[in-house]
Parts: sequence; structure tokens; C-alpha cells
Amino acid sequence: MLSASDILTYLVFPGGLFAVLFGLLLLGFERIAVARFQGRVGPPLLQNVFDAFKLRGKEVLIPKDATNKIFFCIAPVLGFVGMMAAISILPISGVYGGTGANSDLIVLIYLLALPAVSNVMGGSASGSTYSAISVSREVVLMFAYEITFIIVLFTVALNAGAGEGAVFSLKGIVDYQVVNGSFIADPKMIPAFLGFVIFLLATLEVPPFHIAENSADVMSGYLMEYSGMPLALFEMTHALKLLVLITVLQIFFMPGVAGDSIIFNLFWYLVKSVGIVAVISLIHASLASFRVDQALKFLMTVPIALSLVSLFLVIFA
Amino acid sequence: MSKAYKLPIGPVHIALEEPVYFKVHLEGETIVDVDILSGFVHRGMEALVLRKNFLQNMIITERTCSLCSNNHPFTYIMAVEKIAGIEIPKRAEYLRVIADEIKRAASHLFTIAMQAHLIGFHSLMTQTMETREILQDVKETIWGSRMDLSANTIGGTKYDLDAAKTKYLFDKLEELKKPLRELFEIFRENKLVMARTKGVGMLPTEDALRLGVVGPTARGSNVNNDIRDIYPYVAYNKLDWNVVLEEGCDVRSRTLVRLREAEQAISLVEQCLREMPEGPIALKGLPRIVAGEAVARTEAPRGELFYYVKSNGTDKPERLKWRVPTYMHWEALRVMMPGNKTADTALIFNSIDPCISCTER
Repeated sequence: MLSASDILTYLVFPGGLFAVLFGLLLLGFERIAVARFQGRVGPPLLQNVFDAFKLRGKEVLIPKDATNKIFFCIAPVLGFVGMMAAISILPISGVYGGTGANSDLIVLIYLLALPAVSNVMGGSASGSTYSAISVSREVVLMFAYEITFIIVLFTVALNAGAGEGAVFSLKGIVDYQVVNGSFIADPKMIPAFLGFVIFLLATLEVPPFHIAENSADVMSGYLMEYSGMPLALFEMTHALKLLVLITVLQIFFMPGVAGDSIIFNLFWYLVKSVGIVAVISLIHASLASFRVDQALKFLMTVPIALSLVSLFLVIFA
Repeated sequence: MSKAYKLPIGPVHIALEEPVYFKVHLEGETIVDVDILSGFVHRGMEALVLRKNFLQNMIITERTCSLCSNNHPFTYIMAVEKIAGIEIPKRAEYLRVIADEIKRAASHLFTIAMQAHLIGFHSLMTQTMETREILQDVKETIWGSRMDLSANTIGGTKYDLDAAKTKYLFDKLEELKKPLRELFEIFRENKLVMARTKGVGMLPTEDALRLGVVGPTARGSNVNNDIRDIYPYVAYNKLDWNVVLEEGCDVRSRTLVRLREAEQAISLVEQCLREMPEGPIALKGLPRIVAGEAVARTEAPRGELFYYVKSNGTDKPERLKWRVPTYMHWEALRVMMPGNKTADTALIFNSIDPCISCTER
């Protein structure tokens, strides 16, 4: 049964209000950081929040030749709900314990795939050629980067088990690292960390993986036909996805706490998140984009090899 | 998705600077064929110039296009001078080269910036644009405008360089050298840039010759048709320079040709500044244009620009016809595009340095 506190965690903190706002702010920060790296001024920090509010009041257009109007309408909701669920099960070390269920790591695999699924669903239902091309690219990339994610996830679970099986509880992984030191300081886990960063860039579609919605040929890609509130939902999903991935990165590799105080730990979590976004924007600003065939070749070799190295080290070392 | 289908790119598309319509035939992600439809920015300039006199037409031809705006009046003036039998002062010859080369370097850098944008490397784009900004400053300081220089007039040039401006130009060109070298290194060495541009949009030498492509597009395929070299005009045969050629035949070679030409432009301008003789910059008084006809050719940033002028003794031309470089590249696109990926359509199109407003005028 849902209790009042469950609803509160889902709607206010760490889900809902907090996550959406913080995610949009992080997205705004990323845009400013990239702009500064490129010698531009960039948008105001709150630009993405303004966008979301503005789009709320815009007319929702459903294309006449959409192949499936129902899928077209529920696709944005699917991704958004998935990300909200993901953020509410993720523990924030020293602040919030997550659900504590023993299998929430497995649930995470499914939840993290939802935004991409919703993009594919919405894009293919909209009946636009640009969306169709974009969707085919998204699917190709998704298959490639999900493999890395799953290998990294099992590596982390095994490493947290410390030779006695795998820990499939996010809380367990965090607790293990708080006691035994963060995995990022563990030489065995460095290749997995690099593999995870590549996965993160590919999922967020920042260069070198700015492919599915590459404006040079497919314009907005799968978002081509979206307008109004559904488009705002896609934007918020993107912001949440950024936040979720950053939080997962912290859970897997750097969940260190800054003391016993909840306020202090929350502040530490926010600082770490902003720091990671700064690194992402540096990578964003300093690389060109692959073509889809090159990206597939890269994703099928480098990050998978890196994460497999870590997996073998964890199992046999 | 192995079925063949068509992807419309244009007439208005984010990747295009000017309106043109590509109907790209695709099989999966691979381009099979491409149809090009144009005519969206036709302004009837060839009819308009017949209603204005020879001096007014200098202004109109300059408005044909912004990036090669110096070459249009320049070529037109050369043709008119041929009819009138005018020999321009020696100093003006050098001044014309300076204006031409500054515009050429700026135009090349703009194209290269767009190319960086199209391979998704936006930092490189802003870096290239910042480098170009030095040239924009030069143009604004010396000619008073960032795009339309209005440097030439019938019988000479409209501007002169005194000692202060010469020093300013030297300083600015010196400032340009380092960032330009840096850009050259990035475009030649960077792995990702290489992956996106090498082997893309191949135009073999035979096809380049068969289709008569001009300018950096041809020189990227190792075809020398630089008008400055094979049919020298103004002071080009008195300066020390070599035609830039690359053998790769792909997008990358065309980029490298442009970057090397931008570097060469600096050296040409410096030579002009050093060797420029003293003297008048233009003939006194209004010239008289007798009946006759003439053609003139120059090397615009995009390639050979060709003007035909026919006069009948009045103050207005009887016929004025120009052929622009991009026109020769339309057909070449049908050789470059097939076999490449969708993502490279705009990139290949950009590599010919298209100028739609010139072509459709």
C-alpha cells in the first residue's frame, strides 16, 4: 500500500518537484557552460524552466498523418513517468535511502531504457520521414550502449558483494562504498568508470553522440512533430534523465558522504552533480560528432571492452 | 528500413544557409540519388542592370551576394574597362589585390566554420568565426563596412592606404597567423574531424575535369584552374605565389585548400603592401564607354567568375551576363552525393561552398 510518505517522495523529494527543477537547472547550467567554452554568452540559467512554462500554454498539434495517434500522445508521458519512478528509487547517500528493496538495481535497467523507448514510440508514431530516420538511429545506438550499461552494472554489483555474490540493492552498493571507500578510487573499477561515462554521453546524446537529433540532416528528429505540453514533457524527461544518470554515476562510483548532517550531505550531492555536469559540458564542447555507423562501431568496441576488463578483474583478481 | 524513400531537405532547412531544395533518394541511410531544385531567390538582376547606368551597376552587382561581394563589381569593372580601353594606375592594381584577398580569406573561413558546424563541432565553428572576426575588423576599419567593401571603381579604386593603415594591416595580419595555423592543425590532425570528412563526397579528378568544376572544389581534386594563375589579371603575375592543390578529392581536401589559400592570402597582401608603388589610385573624371563588348574573368572565393558586357554607346549596358562558380557545381553534386550517408548531405553540399543568391540572382 502507498503511504503518505511514499507519495511525498514521488511528488516532492527526491522525485517530482525537486528533481524536475534541479534537472532543468542542471540542463541550463550545461548550456551556459558549453556556451562559455565556445566563447558565447549562452542562455539564462532558468531558460529551460521558462521553456517548460511557455510550452504549457501552447496549442498541442497532432499531425494528420500520424500513424498512431494514441501512441503519439502517450509516448511523452511514458518516458516522463519512467524517469520520475527512477529518481524516487535512487538513494542519495547520507540524505535519502531509496526504496531499499533488494532488487532495485534490476528495476533500474528497465526504467533507464524508458526515455529512449518513448522517443522511439513517439517518433515512429508521428509519421514524419525525419523522425523515422532519427528513430532508426536511436534504436541502433540504444542496442549498442545498453550492453555497456548492463556489464558495468553487474561489475558494480559483484564488486560490492566483495567475493560473496552480487549486491542487487542500490542501498547496499552505497553502504558498501561508504564503509570501504568509493569505487572510483579502486583501480579495478577505472575501466568500468570510463565505459560508464561513454554510456552516459551516448544516452544523453551529447557530442560525440549527437546523432539521432543531429540538426544538420534530420532537424529535431523524433521531436519533429511535437508541440505544446508533450514537447515540454520531452524536455523535462531529458532534464530528469540527466539527473538520474548523474545520480546513478554517483551511486556506482562516488557515493562518499560529507558527514552526518543531512543538509550538508544534500549540499555535497548538489555540488558533485554540478561538477559532473561541468565535465560533461567540457567533453560536449571539445568534440565533433560521429556519424551513426562510426558511433555504432565505436560503441560496440571501446566501452564494451573497457567494462569487460573491469568485470574480469573483479571476478578473477 | 531497406526500402528506397525520399527525404526532403529544404527549401527551408536548419542545415542550409540559403533556400534550395534537395530531394534525396535514400536506401536505408545511404544516398542513392539527389534531385536539386532551385529558383527560390531569383531577383531578376540581369534585367535590372540594363535599366541603370554603368556607375550604378557597380553598386547593384555588389549586392548579388555578400560573401563574394568584392568580386562581382571587380569583374564587371574589368569588363567595362576593357570596352573603354582604360589602363588603371599601377598602385590601383595592388590595392585591388589587397581587397580581393582579404575578402577571399574571410569567405573561406566562413565556409570552414559552417563545415565545423555541420560535423557537429560547434566549438570549432566559434573558434573559426572568432578568427574570421579579425578580418571583419580589418574590413570595417579600412573600407568602412564588414561585408560590402565597395573598393573598386571604373578606372581604379575608391580607397587608398596611408602609412597608419598599412601598419594596422600588417599588425592585424600578424595577429591572424597563429590562430589560422591552429585551425589548420585541427582540420588536418583531429581524429573525429578526419573521420567525418576523409573519403566523404569524393569527386575524382576525371569527373572534376569532365564537369568543369571551378575554384577550391576543383583544386581539392587536383585540377589547376585558378584564373589568377592561368589568366593573370591586375598584379597577380607580379607577386610570388603558387596555386594550392590537394589530391584527396574529398571534403577534407577542399577544406585544406581553403585553409591554405587563406594563409596564402595573408602572404599576398603582405607582398602587396611591401611592393606597392606610389602614385594615383584612379583616373580623373568620368570615363566614356564606347560601343563594344568584352568578357572578364576573375577568381572569386568560390571559383571562376565570368562577366560578359555589351554596350551600345549610351550610358547603360545593352546586355550584361554573368556566370557564377556555383552553377558549375550543381552537376558535380550528383557525383559527390551517391554512396554517402544521409548525415553527410549538408556537409557535402557545404563543401562546394554554395552561393545560391549568386546562382539565381
